[in-house]
Amino acid sequence: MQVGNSVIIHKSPIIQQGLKNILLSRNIGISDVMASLPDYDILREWNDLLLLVDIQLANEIKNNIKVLKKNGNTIIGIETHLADKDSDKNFDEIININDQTDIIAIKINDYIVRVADKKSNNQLSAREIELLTMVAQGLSNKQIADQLFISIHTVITHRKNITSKLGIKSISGLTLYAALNNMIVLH
Amino acid sequence: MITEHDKLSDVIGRNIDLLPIIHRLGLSSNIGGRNIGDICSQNAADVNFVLIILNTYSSDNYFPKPDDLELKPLIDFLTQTHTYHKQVTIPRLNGFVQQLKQNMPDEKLLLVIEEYLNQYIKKLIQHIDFEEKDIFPLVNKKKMVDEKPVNIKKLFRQHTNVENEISDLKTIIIRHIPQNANMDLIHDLLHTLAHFEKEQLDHARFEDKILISKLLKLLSN
Repeated sequence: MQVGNSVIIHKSPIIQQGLKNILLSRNIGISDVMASLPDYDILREWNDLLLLVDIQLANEIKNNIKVLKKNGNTIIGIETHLADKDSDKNFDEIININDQTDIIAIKINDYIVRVADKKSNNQLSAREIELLTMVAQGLSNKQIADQLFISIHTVITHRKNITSKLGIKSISGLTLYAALNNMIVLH
Repeated sequence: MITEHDKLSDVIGRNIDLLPIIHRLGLSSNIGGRNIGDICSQNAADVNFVLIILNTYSSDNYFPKPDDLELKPLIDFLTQTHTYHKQVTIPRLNGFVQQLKQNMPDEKLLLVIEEYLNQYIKKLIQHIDFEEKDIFPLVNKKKMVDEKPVNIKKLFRQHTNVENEISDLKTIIIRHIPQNANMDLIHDLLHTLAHFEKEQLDHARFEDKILISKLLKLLSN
């Protein structure tokens, strides 16, 4: 079973392929492989990803660190020289080209644990997430029912299920949960 | 069950959280080794009322009969509790969040909690104002006015929200403690929230179960 998703950002095809093999052996999905950081419009859509980035791109990472961290991404620097120690605090972890597989596994383990936790806490169905987003946006049961073409009764049933799954009762609490999980943006 | 023969210092020793409540009753200084009955007579406090408050806050199973309680001291006590939350609890909660933010200014959890608390405080203050302006003064009225049952329904509804929102905030913080957070501060914040939640529940029990039934009785006579 796949645990989470990653993006590899490194210009060396050898490193790209090596990282791919390691990620696949740990059941981490690979959503993209690229040579440099993409435009802001693309990277601001990245959520809860494991980013494996050439540490030579530390400056580009630094410029976008706020949005990358805000969206729950884990950033691991890939170091291909021996001398680059204490290179950057924006990286959660640094993988060195000489690290053995077991060391690399430990370094990406934090990410796996975090994604797994998120999944087990958040067993909402796609429909429930849709509905929760609308509740968090302040829509009434009637408005939600109209927009989703379902009855108010069904809306109430969904809401009861969401509350019992999350253990959160108030609309403010649900809104906070939705904001923390990037379903809505708080102003 | 706490009685007038218990030493107040023992009662506090068993449950430190009673201290701010005893303070609100005006009985927190020069306690010595004296029992509750003596302390109340020295301070001209109504011992029955004090025992009812202390027992309600120390045991979820204890519940006073409405007839045992005088309205006037109850309302004074509830008003003092409001003042305490406005002047102590809320600034304290805000302080913890600001301290946590100093170490991790970009942490999303703290940014959303801060916004949540701001909204909550606005609602709580509105709720307190509503009680103090629309509900408590009913004690001095002789007759029920038409709109009042609506107000009383509104009071119940607001209480449920006020309690749930604090309990939800606690749940969300526990589930999202950031990796590098100052754990002492998080613990203090959660402790204050838990204490506040418990106080809100007891406060609402007084208002929903006792104050309202006494008010309705008073106004229908």
